[in-house]
Amino acid sequence: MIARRSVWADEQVAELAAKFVSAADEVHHLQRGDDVECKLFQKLAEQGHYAGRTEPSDTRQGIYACTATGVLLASVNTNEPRRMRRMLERALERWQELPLEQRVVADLGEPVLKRLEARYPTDGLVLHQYSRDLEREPALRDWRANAWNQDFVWFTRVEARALAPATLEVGATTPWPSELARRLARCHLVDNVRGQVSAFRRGSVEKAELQSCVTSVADGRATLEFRGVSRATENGAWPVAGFKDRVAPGEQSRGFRAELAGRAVFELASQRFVEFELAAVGTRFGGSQFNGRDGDLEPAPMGVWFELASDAPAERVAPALVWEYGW
Amino acid sequence: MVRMLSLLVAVVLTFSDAPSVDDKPLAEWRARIAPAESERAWSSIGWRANFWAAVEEANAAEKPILLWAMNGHPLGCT
Repeated sequence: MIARRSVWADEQVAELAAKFVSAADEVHHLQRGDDVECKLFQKLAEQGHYAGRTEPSDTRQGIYACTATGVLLASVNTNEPRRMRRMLERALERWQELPLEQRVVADLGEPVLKRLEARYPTDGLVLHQYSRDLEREPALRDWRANAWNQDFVWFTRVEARALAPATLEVGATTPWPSELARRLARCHLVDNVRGQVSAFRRGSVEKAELQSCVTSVADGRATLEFRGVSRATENGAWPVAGFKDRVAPGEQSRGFRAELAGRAVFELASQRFVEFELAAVGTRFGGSQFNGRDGDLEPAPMGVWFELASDAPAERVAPALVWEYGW
Repeated sequence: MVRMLSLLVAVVLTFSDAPSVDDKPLAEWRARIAPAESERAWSSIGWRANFWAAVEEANAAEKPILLWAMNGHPLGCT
């Protein structure tokens, strides 16, 4: 996540990156999958910076420069622009040295890929989610002060329709279906500001209620307002310091208590949302193994923002916790 | 156990001072939480959202591939 603001915001890195065809992807899937895409990555990764590594984890995350034929040009895992520039320059030099047959494949075929994005709800509702810490005293002074993260939220067409009253007339109200409100609380009202976090367990959601109210209907569109509350608290023993305390994790508690408010526009003809904004504001506490809260476990304010995503490829990424959806 | 109890007490005490969603209009919450344009520079690189899309495009264009692979999709929650 730090790489977004360090390495990839560096102008010289961006200039070098323009000489490649760039992709971003989820390494756990690429490491564990068995389709042609994953097999190609596994071949590359076992030539790269983490080849053969098993401790402190077997992750192969990082940045790889390679060819479509499976030749690794260079790789690194860094948040330092200078190291990244060196890696990219080295990769381009190696590329120039390669004969054509090692650069391209005559026929890649049309392989079937096993990706979660195959479940993208084309006719449903897709939200872009952002999370960030809110003002507090004393203010942090390092990268954590302005850390932010993002995710995507998926609803099927049927689920999205259920977020609005069945009869779209002024004053009509409806609660969000409990399963959808609780899914939002478990998978999206989580503290991922500084890194990945697991979903709240089902029993950890104390309250998850959202209500939709139609405030106007005009020109084939209904305007809705949202109000709600969410409270989740989870207790147990788990690490909060990455790999440092994983052998003997201590007793922990984590949670998020938030108020929610928002508005949306629902188009009657298409039966789809064409505008959507939702804010969740409240207090988070505790941490998890990889969300960077070690030393920052006390309650502090956090905000989550949801808005309509575009259908651009870069916004068709599966929600981080989509397997919790039960789809 | 002591740590959990102290944390719960802190939560109760802090919750009364928690920010309210009614403290600001929605547009201000968006401006406060969503990334500013200057924080989106990384997305100007034009990332394809999966490795294979880059493999196909690079192969056709006879260009090398740059892959950013992280725990959690870098274009989503990482």
